[in-house]
Amino acid sequence: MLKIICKQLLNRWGSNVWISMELLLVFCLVWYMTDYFFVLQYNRSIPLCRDVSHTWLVDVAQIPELSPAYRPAESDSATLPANFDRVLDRIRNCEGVEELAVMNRGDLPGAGSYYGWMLKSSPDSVSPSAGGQRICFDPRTDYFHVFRITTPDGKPVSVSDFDFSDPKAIVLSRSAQNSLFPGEHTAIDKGLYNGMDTEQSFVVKGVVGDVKRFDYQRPQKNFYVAERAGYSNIDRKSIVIRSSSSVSDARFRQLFSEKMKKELRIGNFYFKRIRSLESLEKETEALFGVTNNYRVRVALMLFFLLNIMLCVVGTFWYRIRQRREEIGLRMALGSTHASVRRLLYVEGLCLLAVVVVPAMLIEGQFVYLGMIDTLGKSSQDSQVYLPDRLLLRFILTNVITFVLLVAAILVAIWLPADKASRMAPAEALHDE
Amino acid sequence: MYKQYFKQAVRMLGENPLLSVISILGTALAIAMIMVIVIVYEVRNANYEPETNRDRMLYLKAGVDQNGTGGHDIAYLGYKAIHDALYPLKSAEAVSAVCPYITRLASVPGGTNEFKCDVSGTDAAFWKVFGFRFVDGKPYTEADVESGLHKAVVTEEVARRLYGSVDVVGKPLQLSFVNYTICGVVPAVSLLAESAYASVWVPFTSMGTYHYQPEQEGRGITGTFFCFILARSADDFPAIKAEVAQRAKGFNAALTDGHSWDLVNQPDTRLEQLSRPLINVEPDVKGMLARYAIIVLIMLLVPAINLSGMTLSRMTKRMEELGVRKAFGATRRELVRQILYENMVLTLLGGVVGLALSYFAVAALRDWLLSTQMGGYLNGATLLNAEMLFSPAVFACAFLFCLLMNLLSAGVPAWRTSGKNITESLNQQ
Repeated sequence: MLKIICKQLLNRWGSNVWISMELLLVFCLVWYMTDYFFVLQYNRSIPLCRDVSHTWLVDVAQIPELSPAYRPAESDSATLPANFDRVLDRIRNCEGVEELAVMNRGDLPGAGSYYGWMLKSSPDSVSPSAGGQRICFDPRTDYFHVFRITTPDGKPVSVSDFDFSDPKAIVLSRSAQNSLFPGEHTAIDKGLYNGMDTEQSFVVKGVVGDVKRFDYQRPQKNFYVAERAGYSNIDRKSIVIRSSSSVSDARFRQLFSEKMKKELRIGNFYFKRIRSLESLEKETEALFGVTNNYRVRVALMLFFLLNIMLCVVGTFWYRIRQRREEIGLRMALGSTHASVRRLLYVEGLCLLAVVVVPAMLIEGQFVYLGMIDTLGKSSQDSQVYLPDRLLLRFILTNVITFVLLVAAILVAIWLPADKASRMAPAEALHDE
Repeated sequence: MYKQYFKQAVRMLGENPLLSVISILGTALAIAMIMVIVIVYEVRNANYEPETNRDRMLYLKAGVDQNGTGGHDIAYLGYKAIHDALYPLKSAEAVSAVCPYITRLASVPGGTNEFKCDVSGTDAAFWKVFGFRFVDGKPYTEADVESGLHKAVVTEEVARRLYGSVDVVGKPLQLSFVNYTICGVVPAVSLLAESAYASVWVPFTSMGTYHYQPEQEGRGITGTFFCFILARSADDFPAIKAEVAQRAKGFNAALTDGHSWDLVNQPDTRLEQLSRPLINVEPDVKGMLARYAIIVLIMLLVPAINLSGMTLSRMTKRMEELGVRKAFGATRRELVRQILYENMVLTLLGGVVGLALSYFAVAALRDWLLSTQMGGYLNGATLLNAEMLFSPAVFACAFLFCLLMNLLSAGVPAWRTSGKNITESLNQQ
């Protein structure tokens, strides 16, 4: 059958040029989109080593000095930290709150700000170095537990697992350890230096898993350090909490807000709002243009697939009208409805198969010219990820594109094929 | 003659309903997608209330502080930089400093009904740079701003939530425990007008030292401000940019600690601002427009190839008719024109459906399509109005793209079929 179909396609080359051109163009365009989604989905599938679901940012603010409600005595160097501790206690004791942490506002998971550090394993200029995100939290609170940070092999960790009583204590993520101490079995109790200011030194107290800054990115290096919240830095601190998974987020938010509105009016502090960290991450993705890029590509992809479907329906519809006699004859000679349908399906797939190689050649040019992006790729990457293996990625994305187009073509041929297979042979032959 | 072409085209529509539907759908889909892009582009760029002067505005939204040793600090602009270098601009009509996107709890003093609102701290020039329509009252004046008076302009929505009516001028308002008096009411501002957007506006001098520090210690390059410069006309942009650069130089000369204010080529025009992915990346207007052009071209090309195939099939069936016309003296040009005119009926039908679809899509998916960068963070809504959507430019674009689509989808088939030998065409039967 294949041989006959190929012969027929060749004989009718004139009418197949347009559909082939359309298939070729759409194949390349769909591949371009598929490549983006492939990298994005791959990145999203990398385990996070952290969990932001059911975590919240509790926005507690201070009444401004301009307000008649402001009481200066409540904000002096002794009372302010005491009031802040009372705020923390009230939040901790609120129903549904599982864990609380105080951390630097600039280091919030999913937020747009980023505090970068370059660390070195010794003060000299040739020693190994690693760049990553610094995360600073109050060691009296459990940052690791709130965000369910784990060890590289997935075991949960808690702040009490590390000795943060040492003011120089630092906890590294796995790839930071590998870069700073290559080939060494453990980094615990080893010294580290700030690359920009070698006067500042640290002692490694533990290693946890790499965490992705955003879900669409790859895991990155992290450095965890501790700083107690006090009079001089309270306005730079944020309070984050984890709520119990047994209460729905909407319910927790409502209950918490209602209760805290009354209870957190302590000294000059007041409760402003509570925001989920998941939504904060979504807002930042929108701010960074990731959301928009994704939406544009989804819309384009749908547009291309719809177009190829319209093209296939139109072409095959026209084709079966022209080939009534041939189809009638086939049926008169014993072809079943199913085999006529199959004939048209195979014809459509043959057309697709013809364009695959030229399409891959064109796509290859795009790859060669460096016109495809690898979302989330960074010079600080600690390992080679699948999207970095260009050939494998090229083959995989083409296979996905092929499957997508096969599905689109099969759906599109269904209508004309169904019409053809219902043709009464006598009526069709009558056309002769 | 055109009547004849039109009649023929309509007859052909009915002759093969499925193919006609596919043709119209293909065109409609492409025109809808393209028009969504055009409408989104219009909404981002065109003048509409209250951003009525976008075409003669320049934007500075970031302060970049170079520390002299290769490091830098990026934040909003500092007040001192605006005060020393931007307020005195002679080439501009007006300069406004705005402290945007501050969340405050709004309430009636002593009341229990508190709600979050987005507050902007502004100067008096803000009301000149942006074209707000006051429903009641008036904006605060330069003297009010200088004295740090606690006056506020609110949107109708905020007024209603506080007092149940828009008749609120002179009434008190509390913003996170600080008392204000309402002096004016304006209609709600869409999130799409992101520079003018807020639901309450107050003099920035009334906002406390975190936002506004007149005696700011240190350099004052970074801070909490945006700066908007209104030019007398777009022709003055180069002069204003040159003067800003000159004044920034003077500002830097006064700094003694090795730091400097890096303008990163600001101020930006509206288009430059939209084409800056990150503040420390050069704006790439040409690149952005090229990307738009490539996307639109692909959106025309993909359906055009598809439709060309179908037009050609239709024409092949009409070879004898074309042959007869030729035999009676019709030239190739006349035949091409006939085919293009006939096809234009289909394309225009598709165009109208497509334009309607695009308006439907923009209205139904507005948060999806038009979400501004700050959208998720702010409390307002993506409001749309007729002024944004139904501009003559949109309709002109729709018609232009229909013409292009017609030429692309029927041009080649028309040229090929009209060029066939008469005897060959007539012989077909």
